[in-house]
Amino acid sequence: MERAGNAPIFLSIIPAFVSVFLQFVILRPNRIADGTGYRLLEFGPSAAAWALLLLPLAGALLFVVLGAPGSPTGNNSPTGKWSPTGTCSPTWRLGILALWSVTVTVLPWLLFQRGTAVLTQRGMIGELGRVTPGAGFWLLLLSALVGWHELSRVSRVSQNRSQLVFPVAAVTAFVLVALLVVQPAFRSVSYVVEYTVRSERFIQALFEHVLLSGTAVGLACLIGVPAGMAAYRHPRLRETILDATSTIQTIPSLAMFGLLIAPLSTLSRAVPALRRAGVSGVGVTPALIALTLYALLPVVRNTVTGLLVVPLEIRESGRAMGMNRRQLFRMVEVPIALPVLLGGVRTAAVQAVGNTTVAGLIGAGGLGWFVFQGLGQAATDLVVLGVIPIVILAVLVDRLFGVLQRISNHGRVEVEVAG
Amino acid sequence: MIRFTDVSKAFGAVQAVSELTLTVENGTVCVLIGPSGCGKSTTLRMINRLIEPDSGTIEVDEVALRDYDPAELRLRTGYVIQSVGLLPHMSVWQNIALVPRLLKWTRNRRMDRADELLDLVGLDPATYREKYPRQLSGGEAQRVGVARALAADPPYLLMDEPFGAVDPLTRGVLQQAFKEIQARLKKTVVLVTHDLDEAMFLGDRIAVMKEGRLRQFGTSAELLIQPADDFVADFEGTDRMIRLLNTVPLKSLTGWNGTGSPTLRDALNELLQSGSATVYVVHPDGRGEHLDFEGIRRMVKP
Repeated sequence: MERAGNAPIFLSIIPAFVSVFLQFVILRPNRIADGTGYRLLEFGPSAAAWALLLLPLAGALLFVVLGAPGSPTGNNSPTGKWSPTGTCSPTWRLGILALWSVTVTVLPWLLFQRGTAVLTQRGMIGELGRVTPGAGFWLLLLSALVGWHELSRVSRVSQNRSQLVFPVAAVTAFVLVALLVVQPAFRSVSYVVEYTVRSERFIQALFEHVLLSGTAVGLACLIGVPAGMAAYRHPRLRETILDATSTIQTIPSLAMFGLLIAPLSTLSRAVPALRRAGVSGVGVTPALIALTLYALLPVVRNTVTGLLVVPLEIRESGRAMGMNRRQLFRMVEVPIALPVLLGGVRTAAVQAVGNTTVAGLIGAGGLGWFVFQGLGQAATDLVVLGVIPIVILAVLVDRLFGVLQRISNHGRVEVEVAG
Repeated sequence: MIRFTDVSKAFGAVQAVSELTLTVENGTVCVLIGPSGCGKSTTLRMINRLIEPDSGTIEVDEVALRDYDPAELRLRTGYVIQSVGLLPHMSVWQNIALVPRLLKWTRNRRMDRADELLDLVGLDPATYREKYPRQLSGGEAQRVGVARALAADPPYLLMDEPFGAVDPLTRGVLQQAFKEIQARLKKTVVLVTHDLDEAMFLGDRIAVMKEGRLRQFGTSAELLIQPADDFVADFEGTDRMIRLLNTVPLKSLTGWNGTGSPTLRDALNELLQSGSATVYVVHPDGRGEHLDFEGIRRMVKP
């Protein structure tokens, strides 16, 4: 069992206080212009906000310095000296972390809203003007993330409620995003501005992104799982198949898309039927091919590994009970290999979500379009607008497969199911 | 009945089994014993065709093994191994009901059968039915392994060091439990072990093997009184006569309060411990008798 130290609390609290001295928001008249930065203090935030910020800090400092009340070892290391990695009672740790997490989650939005309102009053935000979060904001967000993560870890260690933490965090995040979109004060946040201008394009891109990466992973499973099974059955084929898929993985994605343009254009020129079906050197076809090829390695490798690690005596005991090859495969090998196999699909899916971004370069659509448009126009806001949903998608896909893995692994020793 | 006739098997240059001829009568326990690499496991695994012999014939119920379909043969041959080999993704009852499932029994019948067998091996069905193998102790897992082997009521039972992986105390309990189950079910059992005490406790007949050859085949008393050669004698150790006392069962023994049923060895122990000149025993045929040291000696070496 992991022992929780105090260090993560500091990792969460210190960035938050550094953030006070950095630019919290930057006001810009339009997408490209450099703006004017403002610190937190320059908004003159309310007393409530300050209390929210200072209370947990005071509490944390107090219990770090004095030792937590009711803890068997206090905060002290065996040498009797205070140590930042010492331990204190889990209940206190949990309490302080929960308080802090709420603070760093709620506070930025409070300040953001208030700051924007103040600045709007002063007439500092025009038609195309926008409020861009600055370094201070991101640091505070980092602080919140560390806090959340630590909270989930500590609660897992002390009370085994890890199942609860993620849904709670997800709901909180959702509510905040909804607030961001709905609240008038947040309409001027630069990403919201960018989103409002292209909301239809955005929804479409999101849809394309999911469809493209999902199809690629689906195809990779259709090809990769049987290929993995063949590789498992025939040791001589194994190296060839694994080498081939690894080699694909070494080709940079940009190069892969480039490499596919020429042959596909030639093919589509030569075969009119394909051209009519929409096959061409750019667009969805090469993107799908490249993404599927990338997704192959984790699927194939994990299929083979999963099947290979089925213990010999389990296999033999199945055989000795009178299973034929097919029954052994269906009732023993596949169920035992499934968690590992799903781990492969998980890796492939997360990778595909990321790789699909690059597909935006060759006109396949997806959220990459925003990223590359933004890069082309030196518009960071647009890039971020594309990147945020990609990150969220990747995390969601990862979690989804994590849950599937856990279900498929029921009854067995809890294996580390990291993708 | 299982009959080996001139069976040989080599793995590369290693002759695992040489010209083995051996008959296991129905309803008896035949123990294969010998040092590591003597070919006892290979012999066992040839019976359910996990290994095919190079030459010779093995017959089960007067039918040559090669005329059976391996999968079908295994369905009617229970198999218990040291590592148990329970399937980790199935619950206890699903593990037990695996062979019935392969035989396409209905789910209800399978569940009933699993409960019945859990009872038989001394595990409470309500407690253990839904557990997973990883939640079992070594002894519990081994009991489930035995239950699984018996699930479809196979006439034959093959056991490869079934109690080898548990602690000595649990092993004793499991051996006693198995002996009682066998007394009721009268399966034809072939059991591999390297533990002489276990062999003599469980085996109706014992086959001592060395380097793939059968050195002696007989009851434990026969083996102890008349070892076929120096190897068998050495294998039995220097306390052969004490072991021999163990092979003489008694119906009851005054003053004895162990589990199972007493043997002549317990009588000797009682005699030494109590300090009296004689000890009162009742023989299996119901005849009672006061035994002294001379009486005990006469019973093993008339």
